[in-house]
Amino acid sequence: MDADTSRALLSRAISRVAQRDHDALKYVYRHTSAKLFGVCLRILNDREEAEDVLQDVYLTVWNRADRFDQEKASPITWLVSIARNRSIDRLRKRGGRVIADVEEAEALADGAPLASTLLEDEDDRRRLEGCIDQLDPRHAGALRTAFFEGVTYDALAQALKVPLGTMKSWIRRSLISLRGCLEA
Amino acid sequence: MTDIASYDGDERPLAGEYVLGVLDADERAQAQARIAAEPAFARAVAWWENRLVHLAARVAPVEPPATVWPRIANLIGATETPKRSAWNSLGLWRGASLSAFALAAASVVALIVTPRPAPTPTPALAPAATEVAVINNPATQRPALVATLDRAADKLILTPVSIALPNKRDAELWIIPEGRKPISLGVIPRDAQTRVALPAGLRGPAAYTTTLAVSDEPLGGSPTGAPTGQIRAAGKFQRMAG
Repeated sequence: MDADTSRALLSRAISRVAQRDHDALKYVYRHTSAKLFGVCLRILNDREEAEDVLQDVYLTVWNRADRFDQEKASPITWLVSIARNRSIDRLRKRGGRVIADVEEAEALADGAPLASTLLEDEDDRRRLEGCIDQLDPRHAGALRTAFFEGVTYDALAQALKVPLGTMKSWIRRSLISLRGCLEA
Repeated sequence: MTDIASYDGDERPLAGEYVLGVLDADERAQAQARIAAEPAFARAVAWWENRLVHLAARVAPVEPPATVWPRIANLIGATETPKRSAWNSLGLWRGASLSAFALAAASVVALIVTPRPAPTPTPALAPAATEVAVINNPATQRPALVATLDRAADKLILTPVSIALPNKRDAELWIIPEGRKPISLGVIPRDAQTRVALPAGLRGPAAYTTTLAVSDEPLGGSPTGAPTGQIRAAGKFQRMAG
C-alpha cells in the first residue's frame, strides 16, 4: 500500500471515528499506535507513563475526531501532534527530566529515517531535512534534540552544556531560518 | 510568509517554539490559551506542526503492550467480540438507534399517522401492528429514513426524511440479519417513498431483528456487493402498536 492510500484510509477512518464508530478507532489504533507509542516513550522515557499517555491520546482522538480537518493537516500530523502535546504536558507536570547525556541524545536524534514511515510525505520530509542541514550543525542538533525529547530550554541548555541565553538564541534563530527556508 | 511571520513573531517565533516543545509549563499554558483564543496564532502553530512533524520519521516505532487497546475499548464503550468486521459492528448501530429512539419515535409516529385520512376501513392494507424502523443518521442522531414493514406483502415501505450524501454518491440500503453480513436491498431514492421486497429468508418475524443501514456508494450502488462507503444511517425495527 502506498503512502497516499494509507493516508486516505486513515483520514476516512478518523472521519468514521467522528461518527462514534468503535471499529474505526481500532483501525486507527492498529495502524498508528506503534508510531505514537514510540513518540510518547521517547519524550517520557518511562513505559508506564507512556502507556497512560497513549491511552489518553486515543481517547482524545475519539472525542475530537470531528475537529480533524484533512484539508489542514495529514492524519499522521494530527495524531503525532496530539501524542507530542500530551507527552510534553505530562513531562511538564512531572517537573521535567534531564537528558542522560549529550552523546545519547545526539546519537538517538541523528538516527536514519525509518523505512516504516509510509504515512509521512517523503518530499516534505526531505525538504525539512534539507532546510535543517543548512543550519549550523550545533543548532541543528539542538533543534532535533528539542523535538525528540520535548524538554524545556533550560533542560536543553544543561544537556548540551551551553548557557540558557545561548540556547534560546540558537533555537529562535534556527526556527526563523527554517521558516524562511520552508516558505521559499 | 507574512501571515506566519507576523503572528509567529520575528524576534521570537513563539508558535515554532511551542510546537518544538521548548517552552516551560507557564509559557506553554499561555501559548495553549492563545491557540484557543487567536485563530491566527492557531494557524501559525498548525503551520509548524505540518512541517516539524516530519522529524518524527526518525522516531522508532515501539509496539505498545497488548493491554492498552482493551483499556481504550472499554473506556469508549466498545464491547470486544470476536469475528467482527468494521461493517458488522451491529452493537454500535443498535445502540445508537435505540438511544435516540425515544426522542425520534414521537415525530415518526406523527409522520406516519398524520397524512392519513382519518378512517381508512381497508383491512387488507392496514397492518395489524405497525413495525417501524427509524433509521438515524449516526452523526446527528436524527432520523434519515423511516422504514415501515408491510407484513401482508413482505415489503418495506421506505420514507426518506433527510439522507445526507456526498455529491455523486448513491444511497444504498442494506438489511443486516443479526450476526450476518449486510444484504443489499439496492439503491434507494432520497426524495420519494419506495417499496422494497424483503429477501426470502427475512420475511415474517425474522425481519424484526434485523438492522437496516444506508451507506453512500458509487453511483449505481456498491461494486462489490458489500458496503464500501460510510454509514449514513442505521436503525432497527420497533413494534409501535399491537
